[in-house]
Amino acid sequence: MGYLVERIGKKIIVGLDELGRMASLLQQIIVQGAKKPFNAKHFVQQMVKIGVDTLPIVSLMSIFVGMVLGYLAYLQFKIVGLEMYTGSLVAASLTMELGPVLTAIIVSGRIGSSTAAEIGTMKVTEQIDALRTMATDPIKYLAVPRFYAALIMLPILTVFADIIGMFGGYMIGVWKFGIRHQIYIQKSIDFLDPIDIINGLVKTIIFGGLMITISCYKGFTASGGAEGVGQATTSAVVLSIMTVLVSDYLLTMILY
Amino acid sequence: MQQELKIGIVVAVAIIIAGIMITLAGGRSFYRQGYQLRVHFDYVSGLDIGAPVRLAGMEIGEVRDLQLIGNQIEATIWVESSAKIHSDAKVTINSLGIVGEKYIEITLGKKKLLKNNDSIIGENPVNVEEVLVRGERVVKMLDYQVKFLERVVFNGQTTWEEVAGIIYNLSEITKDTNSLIKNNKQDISLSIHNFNKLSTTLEKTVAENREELRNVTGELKKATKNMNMAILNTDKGINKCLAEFSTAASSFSNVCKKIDEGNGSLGRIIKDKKIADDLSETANNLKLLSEDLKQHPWKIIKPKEEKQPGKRK
Repeated sequence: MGYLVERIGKKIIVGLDELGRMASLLQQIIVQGAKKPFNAKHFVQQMVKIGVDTLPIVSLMSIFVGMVLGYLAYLQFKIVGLEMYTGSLVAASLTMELGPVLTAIIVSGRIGSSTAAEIGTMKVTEQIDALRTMATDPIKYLAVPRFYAALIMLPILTVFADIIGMFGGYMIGVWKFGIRHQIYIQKSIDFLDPIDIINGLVKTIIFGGLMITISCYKGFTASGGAEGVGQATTSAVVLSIMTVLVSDYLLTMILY
Repeated sequence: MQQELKIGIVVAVAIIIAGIMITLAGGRSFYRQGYQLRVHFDYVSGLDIGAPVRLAGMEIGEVRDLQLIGNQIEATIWVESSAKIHSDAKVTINSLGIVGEKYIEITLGKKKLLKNNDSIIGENPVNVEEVLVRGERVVKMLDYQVKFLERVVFNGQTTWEEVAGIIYNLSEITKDTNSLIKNNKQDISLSIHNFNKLSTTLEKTVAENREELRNVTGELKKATKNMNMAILNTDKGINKCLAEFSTAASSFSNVCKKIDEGNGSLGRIIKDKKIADDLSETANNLKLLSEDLKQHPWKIIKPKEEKQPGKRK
């Protein structure tokens, strides 16, 4: 019994310790990011990696999500004779919730893992210590470009996810179920609120920042060779996705 | 450089898409010009901000604000500047279906145009609850009527088929009548024509003999008067006669009364038993006498022969 309490207490203490370290890492990233000089080359590299290279998979994901949403929404709305609102449901749910959250999850899986793995490998192979000896701050050199690239590219990806998902819903609603083109577009637009779209984009900025901070932290704290890197990668992805979902709830409560 | 180009393309496209989405979602008001009107209602039936406004069925704007002002509700509506709303337009709140979305319907008008911030009085929407209650009442009444009809018409025996048969027969009769009239159209019209002719002739005759007719009428009038007088006189005579008759009747009645009371000779005869017996005896005797006389008439002629039978004895 005493052993169990001890273990739970230890876990809580470790958790709180990690939370504090992550918060201080975030603070350092922001502080270092504000300092000159700015590493433009790395920033562009990360933008390509996070944004351009992730775009195909985000598009694929969102078009299928849109199609499924349109399909199910049509079937449900048909029961009550409101088929023309299929587009409204697809548009509203994509811009408010599914676009931002699913994009953040995909980016967490793709970028969070690679970030943790890269930084973790550098940590395990002592390249980070080497950077320090060369008077280069590893946070400024490794974390800051990724952080800003994520902040900028996640909303961009979300915009694509929104519009491509709506197109998926349009394909199902108009081409498969034969809702009139003008009605579908009109109803989609009727139920779109610019505030909702902007709130969705604001959410993704925060998701991106949290996700990169967690991944970098996991990378910087990796230890114990290749196995340690693997563990760091796994926990980075899991924690990122969990953080995205929990913070999504809190942000929704705040923003709407 | 190629990397920057990729990013540039992605970011630019995203910004364009986001711009279009946000602009479209913001509704027409972002890029369309319009004006506001204030509509006053007593009851808005759950109208919401953002509800569509239609002019003669076409969507032209939306509800921007709803406020309680005194005991009325002021709805501020935004309308496209191309939509012309007149001061005599009817403003109502309708709904798409019974439970559907509410919207404001404006009809076309003719009088002067409304400008920005003008106010107009809206017509109160029909309360659905009220309609349902009224409908129920009507249904109950109908039910009662149908039952009554059933009781009256069917009376326990007649069936709907028979009623239908009656209706069918009626229609047949109407048809027959129709065809009859149609077939004899000429005859009927001829009859009417003849009648017409007759009446004209009569009219003509009357006009020609007007003087004579007047004389005849005058004579008739006179005759009636005389007859009247005669009847009146006769009436007087009859009256007099009746009065006399009445007097006679009362005298007779008096006599009868006296007889009844036993007054006077007659009375005494009737009332006194002894006299009556005597009278009867007398009558008997008289009878015997008359019989005797019949058999022996000579007794009158020779009264002294009375002694003869004695002699014979």
